[in-house]
Amino acid sequence: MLAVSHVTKNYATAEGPLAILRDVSFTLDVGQSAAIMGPSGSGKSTLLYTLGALEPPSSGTVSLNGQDPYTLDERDLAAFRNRHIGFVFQDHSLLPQCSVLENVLTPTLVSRDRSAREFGERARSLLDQVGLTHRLTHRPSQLSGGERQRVAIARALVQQPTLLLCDEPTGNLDQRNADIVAELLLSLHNAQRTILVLVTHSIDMARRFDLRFAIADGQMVSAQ
Amino acid sequence: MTPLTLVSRSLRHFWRTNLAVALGVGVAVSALAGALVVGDSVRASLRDLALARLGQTDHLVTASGLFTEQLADRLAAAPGFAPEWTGAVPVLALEGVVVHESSGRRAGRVRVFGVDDRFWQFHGAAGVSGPTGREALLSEALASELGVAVDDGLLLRIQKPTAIPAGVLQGRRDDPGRAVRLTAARVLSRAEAGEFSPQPQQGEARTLFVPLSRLQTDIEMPDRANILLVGRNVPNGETQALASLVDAEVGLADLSVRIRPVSGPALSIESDAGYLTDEVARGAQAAALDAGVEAMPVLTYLATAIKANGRETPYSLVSALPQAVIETAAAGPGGHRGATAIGPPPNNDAQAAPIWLSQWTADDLEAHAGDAVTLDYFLWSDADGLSSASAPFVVAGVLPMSGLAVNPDLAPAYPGLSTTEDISDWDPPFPVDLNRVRDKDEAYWDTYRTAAKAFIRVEDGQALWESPYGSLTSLRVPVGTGPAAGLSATLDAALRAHIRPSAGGFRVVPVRADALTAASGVTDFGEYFTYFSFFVVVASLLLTLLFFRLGVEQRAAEIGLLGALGYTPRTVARLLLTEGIVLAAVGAIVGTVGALGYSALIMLALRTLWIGAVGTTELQVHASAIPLAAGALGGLLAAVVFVLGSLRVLWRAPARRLMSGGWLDVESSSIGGQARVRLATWGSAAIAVVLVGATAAGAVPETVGFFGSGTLLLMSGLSGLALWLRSTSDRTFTAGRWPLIRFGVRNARYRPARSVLSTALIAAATFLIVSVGAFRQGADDTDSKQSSSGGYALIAESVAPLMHDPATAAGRDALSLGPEVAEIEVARFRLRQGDDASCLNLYRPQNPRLIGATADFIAENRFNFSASLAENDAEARNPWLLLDQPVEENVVPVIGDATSLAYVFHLGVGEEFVMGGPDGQPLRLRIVGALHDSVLQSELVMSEAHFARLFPRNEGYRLFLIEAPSGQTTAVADVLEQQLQDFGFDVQSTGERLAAYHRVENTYLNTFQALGALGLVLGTLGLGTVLLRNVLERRRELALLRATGYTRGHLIVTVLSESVFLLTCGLLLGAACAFVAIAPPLVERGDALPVANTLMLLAGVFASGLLSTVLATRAIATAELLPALKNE
Repeated sequence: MLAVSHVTKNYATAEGPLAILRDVSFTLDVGQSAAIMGPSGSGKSTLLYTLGALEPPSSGTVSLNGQDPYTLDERDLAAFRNRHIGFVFQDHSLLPQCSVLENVLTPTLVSRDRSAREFGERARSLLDQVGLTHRLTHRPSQLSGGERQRVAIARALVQQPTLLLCDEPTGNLDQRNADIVAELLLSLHNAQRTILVLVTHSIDMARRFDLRFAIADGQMVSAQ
Repeated sequence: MTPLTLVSRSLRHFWRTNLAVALGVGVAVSALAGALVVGDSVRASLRDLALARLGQTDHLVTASGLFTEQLADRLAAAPGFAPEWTGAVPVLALEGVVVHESSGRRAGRVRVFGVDDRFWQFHGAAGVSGPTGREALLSEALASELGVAVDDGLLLRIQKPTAIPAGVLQGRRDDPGRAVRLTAARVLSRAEAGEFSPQPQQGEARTLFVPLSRLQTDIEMPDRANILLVGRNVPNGETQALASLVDAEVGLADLSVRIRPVSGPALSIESDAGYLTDEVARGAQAAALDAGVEAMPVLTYLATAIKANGRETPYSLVSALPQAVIETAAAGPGGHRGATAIGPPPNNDAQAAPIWLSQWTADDLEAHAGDAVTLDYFLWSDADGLSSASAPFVVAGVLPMSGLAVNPDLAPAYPGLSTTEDISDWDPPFPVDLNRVRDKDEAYWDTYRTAAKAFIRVEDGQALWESPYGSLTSLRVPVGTGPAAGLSATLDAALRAHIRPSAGGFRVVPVRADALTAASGVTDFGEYFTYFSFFVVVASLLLTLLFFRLGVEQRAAEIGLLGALGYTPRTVARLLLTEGIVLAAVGAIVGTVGALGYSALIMLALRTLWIGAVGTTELQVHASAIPLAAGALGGLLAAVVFVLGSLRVLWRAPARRLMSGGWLDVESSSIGGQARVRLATWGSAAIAVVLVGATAAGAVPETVGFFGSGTLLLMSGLSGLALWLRSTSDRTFTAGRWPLIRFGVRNARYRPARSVLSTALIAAATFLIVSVGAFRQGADDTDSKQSSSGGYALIAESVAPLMHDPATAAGRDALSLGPEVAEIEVARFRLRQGDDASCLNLYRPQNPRLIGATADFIAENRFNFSASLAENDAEARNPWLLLDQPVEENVVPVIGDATSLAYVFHLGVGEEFVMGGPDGQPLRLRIVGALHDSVLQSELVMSEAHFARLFPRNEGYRLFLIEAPSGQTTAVADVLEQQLQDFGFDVQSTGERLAAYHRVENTYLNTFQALGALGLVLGTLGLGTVLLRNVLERRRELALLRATGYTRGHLIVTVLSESVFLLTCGLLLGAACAFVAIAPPLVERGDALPVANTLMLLAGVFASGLLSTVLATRAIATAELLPALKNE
């Protein structure tokens, strides 16, 4: 279970502390999916990175399956992210020098679990599930935008994370590809029973999720 | 808003990158222009040094012997001299060994000048006069070397020049030198003409000035000098004009020729040397004909015995004269003409030659016409020493004891012999057994003095006793009815007309012009440092290219925008090119200033760290506009070409790619690009293999072949790396060990061009450093006869020639050498001093040192040849035999050291070096062989036979290669130096001599390596820049990796892996190709691979390369990566 309790996030500025998140609380169970919506600068991405153990809250707690990652030292925190969290970004952030398969395998290089062979099989399986079996050795520059994002989704899921975080994953895609990516995300989420949190501007996209949070000026203004 | 405004704005906005580009060009220009300034500076410094040491001397009048001091006065007073010339200062120039009496310190090969006030007045040395009495003035360098203070006692040892050559029987060989006791009176600076030297040499001037009269007295040559210093009043006084003046003023006394009234009455034309040279003899005969008389040739020699009928007459002079003259005398009153079969000269055994005895001798031997007579006599040869010989004759007649038979004037005056009261007082330079001298012989001597006891035909005498210095001892001219004085004057004038001063070795040498030519330098340091700096220039240009490319790539979005706004790729490229040109121009200006600093730094290093290459601290920066402008222009053009090259992708990019930024990947993705890289990879490798084959077959010189192959393989390897980096692989980095490291290595494919560029810099630096390091010269195996030392442990040189062989018992006895040196083997060489031909001399030799190798040395076949003109098996086995080739058209075969030939003379085997010959005519030296890395680098070697013919007055041996028993080398050296100190014998181990030569070569290599290391620093900077740039560009990727669980340590490992991979590629590629390139010297020297040295070098390169990752890893360690992930 993902539990977010009274999380605030402030940034120090010359004019004093700037509040980005204000007293945000919610919980998500395994298998649940949530979409976070809100205008630019509302704090959506900051909340996502706080959930992803990338940006510690100024106050409040975040825990995943009872573990508050921010109590861990940097090394264990990295291992926590590697093992339990998967990220998908708007611009896919693939490594151009690596093949499709290698990109998916990137997180496994620093994994403390399992064997390379298991990872390899899993990566191939995921790429098969996202429809890219025929593109295993291709470079990202040889893929379309939608294909690249599908690779990013496979990469996010290769460690079978508990929490899958997506930051506007369809923001750069046309509608058709956006639909494909959204469908893939949800089906893989359902298949793997992850906790899925997605930041989006798209109401249509948000509607496909179990829960929808609206955030404005750092505060959770509604939850459905 | 104009395009130029846009360029200006861009230049300012991206000032950081642009500054790096401009600085890159600046470094290239600094290195290039700096190298040219170094060349100019060395030339100018050498010129200044040579001119400062010449003082006011513009021309030098020299002779092979000594001339009268009065020649200077006559020349100065000659019409036509004063308007153009000044000075004519007589100087007695010798070479000597100076010993500081109190400390025993010793300085060999010191230039000794006998001078008086005229010398200092000529040079305008205010406040300097004399020296007088036993005063000596010293140069600062000599004073410093010996630790001499004013009033200290000095002992000078000099060769005593002799009128009679030591190379003839009558020459003095046991009185080689003089020791002159002196007192140091003053130490002179260069401004006080204390470093006077007519011979350019950049080393310290070790000069001693002694009173001219003192020196003349000590060598028993009063009023004699051997050089005249002449200055010039007008800027274009011609050498030929001065030579004509000298010709007109040289008198018979200057040529050591005299006309002596003798009984007859007659005039005897003789030489101080005992023998008349052939040229003087011919001139004298022509002069006599001009005077209306015929000159009679005379050759008088000492027979140790005249034997006949079992009896002998000891120690008798025998005169060789025209047969008609002898027969006329024999036909006189009391004479017996006899009936004799006149046969050929006595060197033909077929029949004995005729001899005519004086009545006294005939009576003594109880000989009559037809009796067989044997003449015993000594012969001297420098090579074999003193030997006895005999010749058979048959008595043709007897001369009455009157006229010719009692004439003592047929014999030249020999010191120690002709002037003694009794035979028992004789002190000739050959052994005399006084027990054989009878009372009747003494009585004869009392009555008839040097009158000949026997006569032979002149041609027979010449066949027996001809010397290298001539074949007549006098020419006798009968004085007719007129007064002898009148004929003498007529003859004098005629002789002067017929005997050219060149017969006395007179030469007028334009020493100032020669010095300027020599100072243009045997070693073109500009060229060398351009080579040495080449890698720095290329590295900095590659760095410039790298920075420029990074700048362009940084602006990919802007370029895309310009495309969207309707700019064609060509227009965009033109804008960027304009920026590049402006930056290159700024860099060139900065580099011009940097060049002054760079050259100052190099010159400082040459005076200190690299002094082994130049041997002088006199080098100063002489900045001039031309090298600076040339360097700046060269650097500017090269930078523009590089910039143009880097923009070619953009130039050719379709507009759509321009807008998408895809042009950045054009190179890597285009099929044509890949094909070209593949072609470069395999093509270079194939050509390298062909080149190796051609080299092995001898079609290509080894150095060119293997260095070319190494370079081609380097290119092939780098292209192969580019190919690999651009390829895709089925094998993932997770399929194996150390996946994180493999992942890091994979990152090298991020920007293949950048990776290849930085690898190229490292590989090129490694190639340079390793290959240059392999040429470093080490210690030589002196035991082998084919080694650099020829198997000789010692090399020695003497001030005075040794006329005896220290390797023979007789020679050791004559030289008073003890049993300590009984087991040595000695190769002796004749020596004609001249310009040092080795790399120790920076000046271009005009008049190189020449040595004459004996037949024994030639037969020994020592040393190792790198090339020769051998035409048959015997010559191929022993190329020294080529020295025996006959001289044709004044071309003399010589052998030199390959290094000297290549770098000092710039000549190859088969080519000729032309120098001034002894007769004033050009002497052509043909290179018939080149020694590989030998101890004989300072000289050219010719056969003794040719040497003796060309330079007869350089008699005896002055250079020695000595083989000593193992373990006794030092003891032998000490004994020889001590016991031969009268000869100024200076011994050095061949190892030391070779080390001195190698030090120069190794210093050049150090220089090359140091500048290579500077290039490596630039390469490292390039690698560091690439890595940092990659990290900065991939911040978002790295942030993503952090998000997926990578720690900073993981990321640093990946960056380090990439860095180590590229470094290792560069190192292995560079080292492997370098070993191909240096295979010949390694094989030739029989060396094992210099593993330890190479590993150390590679470790240094690797360590410096790792430093390049510091910035990149620091960026990872400190960067806040999270912001890179956020979209807001």
